[in-house]
Amino acid sequence: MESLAILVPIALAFTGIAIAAFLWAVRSDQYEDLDKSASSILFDEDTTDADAEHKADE
Amino acid sequence: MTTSLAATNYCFHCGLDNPSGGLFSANINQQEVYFCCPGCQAVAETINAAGLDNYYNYRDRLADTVDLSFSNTDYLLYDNMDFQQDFVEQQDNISIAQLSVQGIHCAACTWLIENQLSKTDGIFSSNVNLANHKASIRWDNSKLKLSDIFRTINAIGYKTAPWLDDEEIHRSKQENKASMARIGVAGIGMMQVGMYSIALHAGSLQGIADTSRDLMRYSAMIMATLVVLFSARPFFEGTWRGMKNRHPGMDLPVAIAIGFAYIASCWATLQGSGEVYFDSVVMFTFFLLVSRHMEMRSRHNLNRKSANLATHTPEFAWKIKSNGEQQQVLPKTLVVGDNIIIKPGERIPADAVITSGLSNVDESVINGEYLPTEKSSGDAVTSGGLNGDGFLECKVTAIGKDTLLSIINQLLEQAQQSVPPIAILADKGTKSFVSVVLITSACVYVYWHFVAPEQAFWIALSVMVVSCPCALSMATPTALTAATGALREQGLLVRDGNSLEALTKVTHCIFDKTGTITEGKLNIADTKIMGHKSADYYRHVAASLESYSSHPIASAFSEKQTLLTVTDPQIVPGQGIRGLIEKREYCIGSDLFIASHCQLPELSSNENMLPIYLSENGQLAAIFYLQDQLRPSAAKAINQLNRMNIATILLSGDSSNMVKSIAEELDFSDWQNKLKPADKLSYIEKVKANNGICIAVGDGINDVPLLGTANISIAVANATDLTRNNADCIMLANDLRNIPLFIEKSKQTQKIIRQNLGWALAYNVCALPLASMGLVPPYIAALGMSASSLVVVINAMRLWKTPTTQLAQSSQALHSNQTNQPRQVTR
Repeated sequence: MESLAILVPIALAFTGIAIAAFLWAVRSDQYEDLDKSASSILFDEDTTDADAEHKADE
Repeated sequence: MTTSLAATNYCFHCGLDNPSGGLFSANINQQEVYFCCPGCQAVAETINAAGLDNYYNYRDRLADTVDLSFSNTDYLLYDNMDFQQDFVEQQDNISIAQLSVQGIHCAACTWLIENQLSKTDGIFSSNVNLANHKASIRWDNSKLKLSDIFRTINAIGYKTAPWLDDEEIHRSKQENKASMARIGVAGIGMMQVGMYSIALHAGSLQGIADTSRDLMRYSAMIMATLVVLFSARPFFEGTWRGMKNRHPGMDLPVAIAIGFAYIASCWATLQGSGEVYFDSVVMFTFFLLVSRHMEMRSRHNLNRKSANLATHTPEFAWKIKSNGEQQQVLPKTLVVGDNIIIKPGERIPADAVITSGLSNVDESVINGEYLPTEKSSGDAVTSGGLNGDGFLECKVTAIGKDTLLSIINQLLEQAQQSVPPIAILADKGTKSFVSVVLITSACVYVYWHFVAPEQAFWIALSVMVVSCPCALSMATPTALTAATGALREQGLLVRDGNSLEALTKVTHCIFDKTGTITEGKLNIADTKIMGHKSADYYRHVAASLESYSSHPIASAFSEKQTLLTVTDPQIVPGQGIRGLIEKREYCIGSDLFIASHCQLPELSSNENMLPIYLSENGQLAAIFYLQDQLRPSAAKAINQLNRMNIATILLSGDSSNMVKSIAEELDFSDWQNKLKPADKLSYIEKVKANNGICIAVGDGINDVPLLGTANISIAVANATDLTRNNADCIMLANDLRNIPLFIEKSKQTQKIIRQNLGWALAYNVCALPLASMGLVPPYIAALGMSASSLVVVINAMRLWKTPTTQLAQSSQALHSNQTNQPRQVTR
């Protein structure tokens, strides 16, 4: 029973932190472009680097 | 190979039909692929050479057809610091530019642009935003000029312009952020409150110590308070606004449900008795916010697509200074009374009156006419128009916000905002249901007040929560959101979801001819040869001559081959072009122009076609007949509509016989020509008077009244901004078959809405009496409420399934064709 009295406020505090972090993320434009982020993870980033190296080799 | 058909028939880059049957090909990924034009070919080769051909595997939308004309622009003007001040930030050697990129369709486009830029020496970083098509680029200005960046982006098939932050964009960005924040807080709150509520519900079944129960209730109350005050605020604000205007809308039942349940639960928590419904409150808020967010996003999408005004005003203007010198200036620095010069092919920077000069001015932005009008001294030209072949000297009469283009746009915006949304109709059912619930709750309260006074309030409250209009109020909007989403994927932007409801009863479908049923673009339909050379040769000559003109007629001749060298080309504005090719003098132009130096034969005049004459050393060599071609999708669309028993009508202002021949060819149920805009209006009014419901499809400004009067209006993609702003729905993909699809979808939507409403009503009819008898404990009430809303949402999601039209199939074929290729990373 006592453990609840401690844990529940801790949980609330964490929720507060989570909300603050989320609001910060929204304010710093991280949720501005959902469509792009959703699919960009599927794209190969490596080609760029490999290609840059290839260019350097030439 | 099974895929070879698709590979030769459709352009590898933009997916258009390949008219030339594979004249333009390139080797991409060790496979021969074909293109519709040299523009697409050049872009695909650039992409391949940069090792970015994975773009073709990643993309899920086809690219725009590449227009070679803009790739000739050198953009050198942008290297001038004066022009950069609006959109480039300078920090020592580093410049940061904000550009607006046109032609972005999917995330693969942003990938392509970012990667192409990152390979360019001197660029530190770039970020392309898919939502608003804005590119932010940081680069070393000692190594690279801004014009180089423009050309780099150009080379892979996208058009760029300086980013101009307008209020609309700013507002929608703020709105999006606020909505995201609300949803997030409601979501986090929902998880927390849900956790405490499970403990409470379990407690009410198994027994729970009062102190533990109160701890849970207070914790839930803290979270719910946050959610109600922060996330649910728009509902209360909306109700308040609605009450003030005596026009309570959708927000009223929502606010009542949230408000009552929240206040009663707080009361119960503070009193340490009764029941709490925090979980219902928070969940309800979250669900509704999500569905509103989706609605908002599709609205923003629409605004972005139609608010492209900036692209119609040029980046610079030529001003004549008092000493007679010409100076390039920013259009915004012009003032009324300035003398300006408009060179051939340039956009008109401000409303002005011509003081000297003669030219054809294409004002399709304003009037939707695809053939330019001849203008000379004393005539007015409007901002956004495109100058043809002549030099014009003008005096500025209006600038910026006072130009005709902006004024009409402002008026339209106002008109749109003041129209009461038809949404109210859809809410009527919900509202009367809310009053039923309120009255029932009141009766229940009064009844229990005499039977068991201490329970009266809680039973009345459970009646309200269990039947809280959640499922009912979500039945229509969720279905509409899902349907508009599915249609958007098909290339049809629906501005007002409620037009879907009106569509189900459509009886008439009215089409404008030019630009709607036809492409609004001239093509060579027939060639008659009088000279000694082949038809191909004369076409080639014509194309070479016409390449010096920016007149729309010239585009009919544009050819894919390398052009002949023209010595001493001369443009006679409004008449034609003269030049020497292979030591022979050629003239091309109207009958007037050619008749001035050679004899024209008497021709049986065919009104459907526009003849263009070519003379060779003073002898008539060829006559080209130009015609506006039918859209390829028109026949199928009309056929489908006819089968759906919808009357198809072709209305045109044209006086030619073409209207009749098109109407007969495509099997229209009715047609009329020689109509003035007012006649078109009265036609629609007649249909409406006979209880008909009609769709109007159009493109030009002359169609605006038509679109405004019809029950549902659809603007085709290349319509003028004004027309697009005024239509209920915009076709992004120029596929007329989307119209029958649209009707089909609306019927499905109607069905889903009925199912949803039926389910929500059935649920409420069962739950209300039980709750009134005091038989529903709070956890069942909460469960029932969420289950009933979930059913509604899931049912609505069925509409999202994209139908497979032929267009979708063909692009899928193209797509699978690409993915079937052995994928190899560039080495």
